[in-house]
Amino acid sequence: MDRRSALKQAALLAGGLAWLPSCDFGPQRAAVALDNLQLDTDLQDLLAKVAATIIPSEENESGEISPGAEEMDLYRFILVMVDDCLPSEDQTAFSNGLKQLTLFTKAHLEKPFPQKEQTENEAILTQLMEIEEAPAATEGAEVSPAEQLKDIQTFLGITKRYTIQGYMVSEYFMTEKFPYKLVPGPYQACVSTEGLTVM
Amino acid sequence: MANFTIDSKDNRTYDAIVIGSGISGGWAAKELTGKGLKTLVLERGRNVEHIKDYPTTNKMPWEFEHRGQMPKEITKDNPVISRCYAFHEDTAHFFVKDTEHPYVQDKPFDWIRGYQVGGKSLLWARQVQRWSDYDFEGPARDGFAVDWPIRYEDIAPWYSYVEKFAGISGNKDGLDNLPDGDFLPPMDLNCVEKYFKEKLETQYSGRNLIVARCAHLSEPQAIHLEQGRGQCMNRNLCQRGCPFGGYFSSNSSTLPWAMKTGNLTMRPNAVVHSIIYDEEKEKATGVQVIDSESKESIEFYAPLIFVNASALNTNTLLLNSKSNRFPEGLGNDNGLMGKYVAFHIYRGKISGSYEGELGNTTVGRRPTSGYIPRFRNVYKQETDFLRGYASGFGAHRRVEREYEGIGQSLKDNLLNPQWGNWRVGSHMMGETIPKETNTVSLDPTQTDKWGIPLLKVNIDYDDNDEKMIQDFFEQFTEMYERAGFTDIQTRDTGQAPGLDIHEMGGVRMGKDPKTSLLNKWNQLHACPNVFVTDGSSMTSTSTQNPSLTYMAFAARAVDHAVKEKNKLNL
Repeated sequence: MDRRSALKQAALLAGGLAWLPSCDFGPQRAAVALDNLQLDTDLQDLLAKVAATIIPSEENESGEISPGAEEMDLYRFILVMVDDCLPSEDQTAFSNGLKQLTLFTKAHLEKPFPQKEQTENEAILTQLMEIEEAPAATEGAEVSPAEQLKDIQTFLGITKRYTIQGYMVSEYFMTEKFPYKLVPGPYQACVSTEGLTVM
Repeated sequence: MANFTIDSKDNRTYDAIVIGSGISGGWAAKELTGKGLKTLVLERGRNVEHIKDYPTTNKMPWEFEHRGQMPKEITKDNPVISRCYAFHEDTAHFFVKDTEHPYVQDKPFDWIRGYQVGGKSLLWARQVQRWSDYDFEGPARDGFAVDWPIRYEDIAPWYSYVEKFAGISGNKDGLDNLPDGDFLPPMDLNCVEKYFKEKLETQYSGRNLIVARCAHLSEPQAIHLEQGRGQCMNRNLCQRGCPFGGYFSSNSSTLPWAMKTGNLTMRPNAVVHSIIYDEEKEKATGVQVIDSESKESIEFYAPLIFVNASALNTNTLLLNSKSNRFPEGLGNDNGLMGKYVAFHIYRGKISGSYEGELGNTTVGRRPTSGYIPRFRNVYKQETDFLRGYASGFGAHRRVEREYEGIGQSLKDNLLNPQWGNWRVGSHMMGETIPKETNTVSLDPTQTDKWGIPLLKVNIDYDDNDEKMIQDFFEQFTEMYERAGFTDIQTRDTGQAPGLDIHEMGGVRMGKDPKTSLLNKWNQLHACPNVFVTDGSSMTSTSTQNPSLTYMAFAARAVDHAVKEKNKLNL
């Protein structure tokens, strides 16, 4: 399957590039092939932006990068999970929410998503997740803002969940931060927590 | 039957045939070949070779496309197997999908199967508690099923025999309701498990907490190294197959051992259709097999046949082995075959928190847990339900994370977890009473792709079971409260029978041919050269995990069969 080989290539690339901060996606980038969702490259890029807003990368004072969703290509994992593991009603809400995201923010918030700055994007997504009452319907709109918002919030919930999962079950997280041992050796039944990594 | 790829009958004749290569069939094969018998093992599934055929065994969590979760496409069409606790992306290739091998559920029954060389011995939970006379004497004392034809002293030496070879980690606890065995060093209880043990044992008489005995090489001996197995490394990824051979399976232990004798012929992809009965000789003479790949029908012959197809499939096979002499199935003169099927109740669960021992935690993983042997109705009848339940007990230190918000603060939270309380939990393992109404039978019209009738399952809980579940909730709530646990929550999973994967009976042992199918040596009363030593032979279920007992019965039965053969009685 195309998507599978695309994923494998992505994994190889990710390993080979070892968390170099990536630039904007080049024009050659192929869309992740999906069985159930129909999302073109632009929408997949937008998803990647949402994931990168949820878990951003950062650079510390000594120039080391703490990778986030972008370096881990987590949008690919999110797409695979939504495409393969979610019921179709959630898939539909996810697709609709992603498709409405820019339109809705353009129409109803101060700034459309995405912006250049992480802080701005965080503020927009946070606001979206917190809105309780949908804006009033505008004349002639095909989909009511209430429906749009419902799908956007479902989309953001799903994306956040899988971004967190993808991050925490990533090679980086499970080797650099909370080392997972395939062969852990003896079980220590009672150990002081003093000085131990919490895991 | 015309068959041009198979040569002469002589070349299809063995000293013994074993049907099934799972935990009990593997033992039959090891014992038969070890005693010099040329043995054919027939396995309906594909071949699985130790290590070589464990494709996921060394994969890291992030290497699974769905991080362990099964895609909807599979869970939607296979609801039964998807409910199994061990069915995940790393193990799915060892489980039978519902759609591959249908069966008929008159009442909901989750039939969990593993069709491959090694069967479910690759997948089991590796818990190996001995049964005691409080189990074997149960039916006679409490007036259900029929009396077991054996007692603990008959099986005890065979428990030791299989324990030494398989390698069992355990502590000698000195409990009469859970006899000690021949153990390798025990795994450790953690601080909260020890705390609960102390509370339980001082506050109640007859209630004990031990570390569960498990089929893991905590300290391999020469006999284990000779099998090519090594120390258990506590990976706790057992159901993928263990590259160290750290836990016991047919694949890592009995089958390669049998192969080394030069007396074993393994034939995977061999679906046994029926056992052939010769009316003149008044014995079974062989089996009719369908090669699942070529679809050819082939007959194999042997004077000795061991049936180890797994509890319910053994019922199917014997019921389908019809002849003029046995129109209702081989050895089924009394019509009881397929009846009195029983299982274990795993519906009750309880959890709680413990706010002590906050300066301590555990490090690493442990492939077993705590175990509370049955304390209800052990020495005498004391409740309004019969029998009782054993229970697991486990404690682990919680790691807590804040998942609020998005952005850098969320990321910081994910990277900075905090210690939480200890969480504790138990699940019940209840004995069920075998009843004539809990049955399996052959569907009169529907067949599988080889023309073998589908198995029809009609098994349900009863009032005794419901009372026992309530008692588990009451007793454990009290025990947890008295230990100072908080946030106590009970849960009835409502799961169907079968999901316990401890289905037993249908071809039960007994003293009287009128009321049982097998004698005390696991021979069919009416066809003594056929031995049945898997779960179908169980007269009652005890509360303890049954696999160790199947293994002991298999080894004991082979010993008897070969002695009888040498005396020319078989």
